[in-house]
Amino acid sequence: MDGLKEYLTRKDFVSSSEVRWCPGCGDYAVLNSVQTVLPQLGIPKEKFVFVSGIGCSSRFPYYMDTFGFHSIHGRAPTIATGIKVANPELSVWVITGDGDGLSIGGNHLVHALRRNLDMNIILLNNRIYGLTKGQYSPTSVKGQITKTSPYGVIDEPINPLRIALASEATFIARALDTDPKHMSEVLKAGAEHHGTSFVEILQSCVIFNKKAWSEISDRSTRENRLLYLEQGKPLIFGEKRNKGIVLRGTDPVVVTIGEQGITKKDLVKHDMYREDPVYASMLVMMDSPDFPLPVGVFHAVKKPVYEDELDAQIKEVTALKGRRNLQALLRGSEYWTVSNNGASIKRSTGIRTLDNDESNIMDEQIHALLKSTDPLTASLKTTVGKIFYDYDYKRSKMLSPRDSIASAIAHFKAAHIECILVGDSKRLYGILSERDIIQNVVLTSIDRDRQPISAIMRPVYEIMDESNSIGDVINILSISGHRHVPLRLKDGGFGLVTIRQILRFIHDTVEQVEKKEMEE
Amino acid sequence: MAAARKKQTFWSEPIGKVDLQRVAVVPSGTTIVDAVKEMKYNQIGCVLVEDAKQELIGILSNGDLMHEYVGSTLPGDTAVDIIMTKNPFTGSPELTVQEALEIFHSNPFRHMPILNDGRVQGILSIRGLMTFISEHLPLEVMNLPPDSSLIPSRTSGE
Repeated sequence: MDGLKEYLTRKDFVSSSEVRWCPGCGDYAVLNSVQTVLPQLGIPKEKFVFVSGIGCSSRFPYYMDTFGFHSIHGRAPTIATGIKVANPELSVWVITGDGDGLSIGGNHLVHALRRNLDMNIILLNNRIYGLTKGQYSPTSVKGQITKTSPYGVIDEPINPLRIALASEATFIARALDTDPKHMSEVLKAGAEHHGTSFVEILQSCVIFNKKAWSEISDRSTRENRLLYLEQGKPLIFGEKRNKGIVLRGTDPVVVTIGEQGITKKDLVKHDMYREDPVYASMLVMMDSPDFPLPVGVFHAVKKPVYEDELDAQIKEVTALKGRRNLQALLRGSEYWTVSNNGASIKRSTGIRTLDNDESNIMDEQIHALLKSTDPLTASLKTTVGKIFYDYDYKRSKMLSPRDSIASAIAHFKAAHIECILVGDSKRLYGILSERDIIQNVVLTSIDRDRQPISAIMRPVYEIMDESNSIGDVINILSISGHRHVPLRLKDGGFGLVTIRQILRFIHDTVEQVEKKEMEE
Repeated sequence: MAAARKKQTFWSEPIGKVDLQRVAVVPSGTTIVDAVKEMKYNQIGCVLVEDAKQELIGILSNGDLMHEYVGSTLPGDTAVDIIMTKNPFTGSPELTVQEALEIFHSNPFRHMPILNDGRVQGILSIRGLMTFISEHLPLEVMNLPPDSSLIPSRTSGE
C-alpha cells in the first residue's frame, strides 16, 4: 500500500496483561479513553511512555502496550521529568491519584507543573485510598466516613486544580469517568498542548467510596450539576439549557435565562486562553451546592517549555566553554577516597578543572571577615562581662516582686536609674522601667502603696551571659526594642546592660583607634 | 586604616540619614496626664512642648516625670511647662553619627530633637543611634547566629 500512511488503532495500545481493577472501577474508563486518544495523536507507538507511582491507578502502565514505569510512591512526576529531559522526543504520560499525587507526591507534582515540561499528567480523583483499603485521602470531603475517619474527616480537602493553578500549570482541565467521550476530548486537548497538561478525572471507588461524585456522575442530575466549558461559548448549563453564570462585580452568580431580563449575551464567555489565572481561579472555586461543577479545559496558556530552555542553555554554554569532562567535574577541587574497610579517608586536592570556582573565593572572604582586624569589629567580640565591670555599673540592686510600687518609686528616685530587675539572686521574675511606672501611676488609679511590683512589671524573655559578645547584646537590643538587657553574672545574681554602656564602649574604642592612628 | 575606611562610610554620615523617631508634640499648657497619654499612644519615651509660635520650648521625658511629678504633690492637671526640661539640647540634620555619639556620651539625656530651620524634624534617640551603627555592621552584629559561639570557625567539609 504505497503512499498510504498506516494508522495505529486502539488495539495497538492494549497490553496482554490481565487488568486487576475491581469490576466497575472508573479506572477502566480512563484506560479506554487514553487508548482511544493515543492513535489520534500521530505519534509512533515506541515514543509513548507511561509513568506511575503507587495506587490503584498506578497499575496503569501494565495495561498499556507502550513503554512504562511503575515507579515509587509519589515520584512519577520526577521520573517522568528525567525521561523527558533525557529524550525530549518521547510522549510522556504520568498517571497518578489523589493520594499518590497530592499527598505522598504533593511536592513533586507542584515542581513538575511549574517546570512545564511537554508532558501529560492525569490525576484520578476518587477521594479515597483504594489500594490500601479505604483510608481517607487529601481530597476526601469533610465529614466523610472512612476506615481511618470513623466519625468523619475533619481535614479541609485539597482542590487539585487549585493546586495546579497555584503551581503555574499551563494547562488544567477536569473530566468525569462516566462521560468518556468528553474525557477523550479533554485528554486529546491536553496531549496537543505544548507544555505540561494537568487533567483531573473525577471517579468513584466502587468498593470504598461508591458515592464519591454521586451528585454529578448520576445521569439524571448531571445536566443540572455540571457546567461543560466550551471555548468562546457562554457558561450555560441545566437540563433545559436555561441556566448560566454572570459576573456581579468579581463574583460569579447563577442566573436563569429569560428571568429578570437576562439573555445569553449577559453570560460570561469561556476563555481558556486568558493569560492571568483570575478567571480560571473563579471556575476552579465553583462547586456544588451553590454552583454547577465546571468540567472541560479551564486554562491553556503558552509558556516556555523546560526541555527547550534546557537544551538551549546547554548549547549556549557548550559553545562558550566547550564540552566538559564529567570525571573532572565530579572530582572538582577536592575529593576523598575511603579505603575498602573504611579505616582510612584520604583527602585529595589539586585537581582544579573549574576555572571559576567561586566557592573557594567565598570561603576566603567569609574567613577574612570573621578574622577581621578592624579594631571596632574586633572589639564587638569582647565579652559583655567586660562592659559590665568596666563601665561603672555596680551590681544592680534587685527588688522583690512583692515590694510595693511605692517602694520601687522611692528606689528609682534615690538611685537615679531608668530600670531595675525584679527577682532575687536565684531567679529573675521581671523587669521594671521608668516607663512602666509612669504609665501605670499617672494614667491609672492603681494603689501604689498596696499593689506589688509584680502587677506592673514586664516579663523577661532574654537573659544574656557574661560570655556573650557585645555584638550579641547589640543584636538582642536591636530586636527587642528595649534599652536594657539582663545579664546573668558568673558568681550568681544578675546585672543590667544598657544601650548607654554599649555606646560608651563604642565611643571609647573609636577614640582609642583614632589616638593610635594619630601617633602612627 | 580599616577604621578610617569605616569612618568614611558611616561615621561621617549625617544624622538626617538615621531613622529618626517620630515626634509627639503638645502645646505649652497641656496637662501632665494628657502628655503621658500622648506618650503612651505614640509608644515613645518623651513629648516635645511648643509655644504658640510653634517653637520648641521644652521636652518632657519619663525621667522628668519620675523625678518631678511622681510622688510630688502636683495634681495631674498641672501644665507640663512646670516639670519639663526647658530649652533642651537640639541637633541639626547635618550632625554626623560620630558627633551624635559624642553628644550622647557626654550628656545624660536619651533623646535629642533634631531641628531643621527651626522646625522639628524628628528625635534622635540613643536606641536609634545604636541601631544605625549596628545596621552598618551586619556581619559583626545583625546577621549572626543567636549566639556568637555558634559562628563556624572553619569551612564546612574540612
